[in-house]
Amino acid sequence: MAERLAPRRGEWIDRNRPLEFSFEGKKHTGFAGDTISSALWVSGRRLLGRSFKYHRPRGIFSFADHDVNVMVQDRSLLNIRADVTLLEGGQKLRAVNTVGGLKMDLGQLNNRLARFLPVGFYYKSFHKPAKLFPYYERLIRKAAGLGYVTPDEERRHWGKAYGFADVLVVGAGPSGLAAAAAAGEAGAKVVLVDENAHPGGTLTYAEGANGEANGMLADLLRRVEASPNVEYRAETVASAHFEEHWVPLVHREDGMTKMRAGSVVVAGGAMEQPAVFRNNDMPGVMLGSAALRLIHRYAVKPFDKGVVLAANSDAYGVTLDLLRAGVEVAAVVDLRHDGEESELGGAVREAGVRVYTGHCVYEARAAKKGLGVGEAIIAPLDVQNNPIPSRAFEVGCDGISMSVGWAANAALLAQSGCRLGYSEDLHQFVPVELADGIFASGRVNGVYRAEDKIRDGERAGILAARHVGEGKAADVPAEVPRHPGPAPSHPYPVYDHPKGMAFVDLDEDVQLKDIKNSIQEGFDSIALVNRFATLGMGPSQGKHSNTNGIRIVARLMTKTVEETGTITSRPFFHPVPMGVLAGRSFHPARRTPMHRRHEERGAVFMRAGDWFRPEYYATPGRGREDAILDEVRAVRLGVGLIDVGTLGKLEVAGPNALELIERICTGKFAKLKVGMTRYALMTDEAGTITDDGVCARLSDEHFYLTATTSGVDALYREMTRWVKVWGLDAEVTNYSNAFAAMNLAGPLSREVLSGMTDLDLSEDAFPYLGVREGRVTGVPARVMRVGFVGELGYEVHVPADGGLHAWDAITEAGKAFGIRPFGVEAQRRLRLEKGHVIVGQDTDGLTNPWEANMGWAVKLDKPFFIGQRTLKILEKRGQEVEQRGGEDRRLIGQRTQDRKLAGFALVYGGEGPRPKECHLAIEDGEIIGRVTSIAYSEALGKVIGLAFLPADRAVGSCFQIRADGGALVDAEVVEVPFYDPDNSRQKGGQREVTYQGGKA
Amino acid sequence: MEGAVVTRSPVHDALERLDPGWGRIGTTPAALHFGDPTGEAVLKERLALCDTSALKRLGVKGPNAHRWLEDQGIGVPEPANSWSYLPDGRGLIARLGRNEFLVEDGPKGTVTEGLGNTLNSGARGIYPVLHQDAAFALTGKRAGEVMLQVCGVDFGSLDHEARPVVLTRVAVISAVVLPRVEEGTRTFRIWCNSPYGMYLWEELREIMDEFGGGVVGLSALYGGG
Repeated sequence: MAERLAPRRGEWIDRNRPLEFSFEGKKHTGFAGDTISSALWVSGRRLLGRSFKYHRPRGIFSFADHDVNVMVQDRSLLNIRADVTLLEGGQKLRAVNTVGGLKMDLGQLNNRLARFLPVGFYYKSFHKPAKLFPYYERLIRKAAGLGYVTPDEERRHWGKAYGFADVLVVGAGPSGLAAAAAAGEAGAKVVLVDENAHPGGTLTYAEGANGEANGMLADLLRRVEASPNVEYRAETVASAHFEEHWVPLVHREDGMTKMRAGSVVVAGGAMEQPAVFRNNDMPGVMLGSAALRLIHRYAVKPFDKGVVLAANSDAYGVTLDLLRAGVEVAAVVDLRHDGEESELGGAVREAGVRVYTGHCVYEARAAKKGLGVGEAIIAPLDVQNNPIPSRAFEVGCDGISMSVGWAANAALLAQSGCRLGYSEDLHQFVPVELADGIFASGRVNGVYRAEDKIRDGERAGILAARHVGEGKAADVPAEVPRHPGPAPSHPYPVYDHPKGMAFVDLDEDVQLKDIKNSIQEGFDSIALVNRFATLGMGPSQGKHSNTNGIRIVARLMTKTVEETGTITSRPFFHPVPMGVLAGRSFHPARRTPMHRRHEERGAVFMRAGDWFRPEYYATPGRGREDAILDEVRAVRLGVGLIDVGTLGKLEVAGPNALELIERICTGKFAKLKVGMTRYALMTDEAGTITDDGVCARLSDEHFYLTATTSGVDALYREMTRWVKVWGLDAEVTNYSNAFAAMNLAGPLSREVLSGMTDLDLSEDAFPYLGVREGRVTGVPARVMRVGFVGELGYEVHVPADGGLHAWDAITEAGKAFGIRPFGVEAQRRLRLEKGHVIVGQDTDGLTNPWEANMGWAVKLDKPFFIGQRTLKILEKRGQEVEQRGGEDRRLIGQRTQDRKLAGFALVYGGEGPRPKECHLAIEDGEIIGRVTSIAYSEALGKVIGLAFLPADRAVGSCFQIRADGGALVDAEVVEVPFYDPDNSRQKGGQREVTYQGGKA
Repeated sequence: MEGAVVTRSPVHDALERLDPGWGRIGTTPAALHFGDPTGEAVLKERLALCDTSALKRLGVKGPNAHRWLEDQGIGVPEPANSWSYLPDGRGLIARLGRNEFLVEDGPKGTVTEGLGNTLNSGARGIYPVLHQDAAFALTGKRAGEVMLQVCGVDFGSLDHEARPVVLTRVAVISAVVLPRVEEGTRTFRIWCNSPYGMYLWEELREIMDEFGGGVVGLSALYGGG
């Protein structure tokens, strides 16, 4: 049974701060500083999780977050990596991948059915019969998910900040600390990160921890702390590398820092790799480094009686530390026939530990009671490294520690563009060619001895500082040779067993036989095996499995490891919680100055881009449709006020202002008088309508141009670009945000406005399409006579800070006239009755002016405008077709337009579904077009709309519209405008109207 | 009716909810304080957000804008994207590009008014720019941390002696940021389009809450009433 060891120098726990928590409903106590895994292990828990596929029992394995055996959920926080997450008091933990709890997990049935669930079985099984796929999909989704989302939980924001450093050092082990100290001392601003709670890396658990290593660590920490240039961040993972040294630093609590560094030192060390043998995933089987971390950092005895599987010197260090921790070491099983020649080997032998050289652990067997290891089956190896089962024997133990090799933690190097090569001396990948601004040091660089790692870190730190222009005076230490002597890694610690369950990847339950089967099925490269067998595709991204996977594929394909290649390590190589990835989300919103009044008046808002616009104003007792019709009626019969501040507004000034307007717009403006406005249409080089608005001439060289809410930013960008390209002396200013604007519309609008402006509003002084500058309610204003909604109207533009004042004053003055605010939906209906087109709604990305019935706004006879050349070609082609006999319907498509925006009215008695925008126009069962606008017009007493139809459809022709549910509704092409066809109302000449609601 | 004109800051409603002591700059109500001058002084040193939208400002651009400003006695910052103080020592002039300038008065400044009167004469190559900005000051020891949450510019690496002006994005909207250190206090002046004012104010406030900051009035920033 594990126990808490006596206090140790350098331990990471605070024995004065016990913390209570629960796991799977049972209460336990740990210490502050414990990780969740160490607290559970010392509490005697051995079953800490279930594997992903077979739901096999799992315990501590790497104890470094290089596997996900122990992944837990604490209420709404799911998929907590228990190996490296600090224990907190009050945590209510449970394992994530169980059905009915960890102990009685129903999912373990999969383990019994394992032989029926070979690699790729679900690819082959679940695609037929097709009708069952929805069932399979639900099943797979349920099985694949880890943890439970708690949607009712209050949303939590993780921070997401930018960060900057001259030098980023990844890993605070001996080489990382040395690199940070050296770079900092050289004058570079350094950020040093490490995923652990404390710095020190291997100095805190290996390298003779508690002895000489403590002295080295203390020296390094003194240097780092003395340097004001070094910022150290604990529990922080550098989880990816992007171009220009952007590195996301992830902290579970603080969120993400988007770190941009001048140079990066990768000192992430090496990840210990397991041996592959039957039941190597059983609780109690763990990496040697895991056992050491338990002992030295958390004072936890990993097991009582252990077997050490060895293939390097580290194993003998582990053995000695186990002995010192009171563990009985039943045997050291060395894969190497020569054993360990170093002093460590001698010390182990002197301690009386039985060492079996040229042997392997062939199988782990469970204890008779419980789920953990009960005995190790040890078999001798032949000269080809194959076990000889006939000579196997058993050794009783409750733990197996494996020290058979390492893999460079080189994902960041790979992502940064470094070239990695396989060293046959070290049996690990090492950097062969570094990317610009990237430096490697320590074990990732193939340097293993503590003093060498420190020298290597010094070198990398100074080089990194020099890369950003610091440390020119510092001498660069000489290159540190890679690890001398016997390789720290075994070339092939893989031992097959006829009964299987020899795991290569614990995350995804990938067995040795799965890789064999994958290759037999033709997936004959590491990249394909990776995908088909899901090798390295689990949450730990192959940290403990890719190296052995590559070795196995190489051997099966009779290639070298170098030839076999590596598995691409994509960002993020270390999974990031979704909440951290999302971070703080920004959702920009624009509000007009009158926003508060709209709210007070009950506005129901809609978003137009990032603007809030009142769609309509809710009225108690009236539904949406009635409220909108009330607003429409108010404008037609009296007066209404709409906030149009979201309109695009551009000012063009300068000697070439007119020239610019002429080139941008399709119409002619040279003869536009000062004080008048004209409709402005814009097209692109392809003759497609891009925007429209009103161009007002304020003086000879000064224009005010409105544009659509959504189109103005692009128009502004284009105009400023063209000013430069054409070399025009004109200034374009985007005033879309600087001016508030409101449209006072309706037959009574003049009466409302006349009392609050110094402008002469008489018809002669201020005619239809006029523009005047003056004051409205005391605020400087530009006022335009417009007719978009088909009534007498004044569009009042004022500086934004005066917008609310003007709105309030107009509203107050309008009360005597029954003024009513109206929203976007009422405006849409009003303009629809007039047949006015909304660019972007009634046009699409292919619509030319003729198709939208706006040929009248195109003046092809002027010298130039954007799109003119294309439109001339279209016109010419259309004329030629006409001359050849345009009645031939096959030729219609070659005219200037093959479709046209046509007005229609429903032949509709109110029954059945009402068609909507974008519903299809149908004729003889064929699609002939689509509806772009449709609404009920109270003034006309029918549903009217605009639709793209074939260009030859004359007034009176009929078609159908396919409404929701497939119902076909009859419609008839009618004349546009639907309402006030001679435009007398918007010109202010007619005040009365026959209307269902009465007369004004 | 003209005498009754009231112009408003884009975040007027947010300020009103904090029940400030109001003053007035021109026709615009300005939140001078929030009833706790001592607390606001502490906040200003630690982390504070102040609405400066009510300050008068004026923009001018065009090929002759530089010369015209100098003719008006305004010391124009020479490099593009830099700033300098107005002659009264309270307001500032920021150069937003080669030929574009933003002039902003201090609370009692009159420079913009004088320039505006002259500018309206319609001189060639000089174009007035109506500035209707939401303008804030983010100040205090932790202001830099807040900026790191919303902006990807490394303000720490800028040479403050060179008085930089940065055209960038803050909380994903376009903004002009003027970082400066005054009397040891770090301050970021931020200008954005007024319709985004409430959005940016709320975002900054939310982040500042996490860093222990608060809102202060113009008096805390500029002193006086």
